[in-house]
Amino acid sequence: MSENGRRGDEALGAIEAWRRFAGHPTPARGGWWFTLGSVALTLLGVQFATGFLLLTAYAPTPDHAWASVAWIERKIPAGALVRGLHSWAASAVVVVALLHLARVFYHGAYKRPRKENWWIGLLLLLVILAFAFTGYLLPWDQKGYWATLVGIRIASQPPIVGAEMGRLLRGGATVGASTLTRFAAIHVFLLPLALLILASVHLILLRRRGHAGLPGDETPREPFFPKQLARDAVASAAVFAVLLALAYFFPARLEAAADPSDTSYVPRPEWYFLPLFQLLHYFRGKAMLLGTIGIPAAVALFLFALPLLDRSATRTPRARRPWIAAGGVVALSALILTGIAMIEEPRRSRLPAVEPPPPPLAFVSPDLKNYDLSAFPPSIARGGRLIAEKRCLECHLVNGDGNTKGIELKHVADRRTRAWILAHFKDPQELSPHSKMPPYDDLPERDLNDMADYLLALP
Amino acid sequence: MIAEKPDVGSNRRRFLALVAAGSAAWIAGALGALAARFLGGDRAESASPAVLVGPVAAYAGPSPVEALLSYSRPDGYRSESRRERVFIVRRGESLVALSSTCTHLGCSVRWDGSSNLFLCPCHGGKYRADGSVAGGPPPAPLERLPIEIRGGQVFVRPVSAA
Repeated sequence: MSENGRRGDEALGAIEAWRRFAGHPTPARGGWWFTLGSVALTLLGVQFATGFLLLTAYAPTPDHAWASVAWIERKIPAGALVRGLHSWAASAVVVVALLHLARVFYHGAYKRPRKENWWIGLLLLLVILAFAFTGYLLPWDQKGYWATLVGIRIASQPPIVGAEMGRLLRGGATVGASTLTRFAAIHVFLLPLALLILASVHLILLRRRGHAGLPGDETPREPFFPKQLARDAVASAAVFAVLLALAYFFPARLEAAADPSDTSYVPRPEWYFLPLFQLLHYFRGKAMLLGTIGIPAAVALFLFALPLLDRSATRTPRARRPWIAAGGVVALSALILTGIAMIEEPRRSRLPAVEPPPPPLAFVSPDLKNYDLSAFPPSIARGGRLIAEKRCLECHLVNGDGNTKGIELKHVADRRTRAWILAHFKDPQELSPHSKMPPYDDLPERDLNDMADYLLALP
Repeated sequence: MIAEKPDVGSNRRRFLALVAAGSAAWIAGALGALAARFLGGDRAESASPAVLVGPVAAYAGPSPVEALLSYSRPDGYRSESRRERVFIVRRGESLVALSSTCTHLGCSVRWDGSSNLFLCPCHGGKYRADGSVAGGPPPAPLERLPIEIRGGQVFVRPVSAA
């Protein structure tokens, strides 16, 4: 190193830090198995980047959350791709983290001197699942709203603490504005902070205690750079490429905006909660608590207690058959439950009683390009379009959209007849002397009729 | 630190370093490109349509007439209602729409019938009826807004919404 370079490094320590990072002793065998943690770390970085972009355009209020996500999907360049990537990477993080856990479990790497890092890893998994649960609600569509409703109800079940826990999560008596702002704050503030701290400790502990390597692997170690670093980078880049392709070809879905009054909606959890969801079908009545809280808690407890239960020095899977079997039963059960849920559920939701709800009428706006009115009866759809074109929302408020110069258009059917509405269109002042509304007597009768249909259909 | 293993020769070492750097560059590059499009791309917000300000007959006189453009324009995921004061001025056979915003620092100008000038109350900017600067600090004439006449009705397109 040149004299200048050396002096520069004394101040910065960068070269020394890189040397320590690159030269860290890493197992010479089993390298591809050991890329899972790095891939998870990369994906969390992808989530941070895409999450930041989404947050620059997202509004966490029930009035605007859905519209802002729809805006991201439809208007913002690369918006659908960024959201798709965030959604697919969320699933991938769960998969990769679980594979990482299974790998460490199988290789017995949770034993001394690494048992603390096993616990940190389990906490990281809980943080990842909390990310998934809170993120699901944020678009405020039917899927997120109803899945969250069910999720919070499950969390409210345990005796004594349950009711309070549910109230804390909701921020009120029902899932609403406070729930959305709470979930948003947890998702973008609290969990990233927890993740950053836990992941840092996880990595520092990995470096301090050393990588366990394959069980019984006595081969000499080699530096982290270049072989293992290259493996980690290639695995990360490949997974990223797959996710990008998935996001492009299978974009994230955005269902109709959340409608708390729609009782026909069948909520389904995201796939990683499917085994828990399926358990609900076997434990009913008083036993339900066992399925929703008891079994998941038992699995978590088993995983946390594992380093204390399996205390023998050996890490070879052959010598740890009972533990491998116990872990295998848990993993297999989860897989089978997921499989059953995937096969059964589409059939269940095809019950004739369950029809897709019509999109709420709220979505008439001056910018109709965003909204699909085709699901409505033709006259109502046409009337809605006319209401937007005739710029009625310049004065009137329709479900939160528009202005307040005129009266808010709601519950019209309760107060007015079709004849009254038609007469009022033609000569407003005749029926309401103080109205400032201009007459619409030059419109064809059919237009006026369709607009009346729309107004009468408003909630 | 441990000794370099002999099987990782310097060529192979360089190759692996390149592979690692290339993989990292691919992820960072793709995310960077997405971010550039997401944050910097054209969000294609539709322009607000022309706003009706009244029949041509209302603007027959020689003095500028004040009109209020009331319209809504897309503002991100929502639409915002706006009001904008403009002046409609007859210039020979045609009508001109002038923004009321002073080009100096953005105050609203008023028509002063006695001096036949637009006066800005803030820093004494003066404009003639056609919008050209007559005195004071304004660096440019009042902005002209697109105007259309359809079926005897005057429509003005708010520029700020374009």
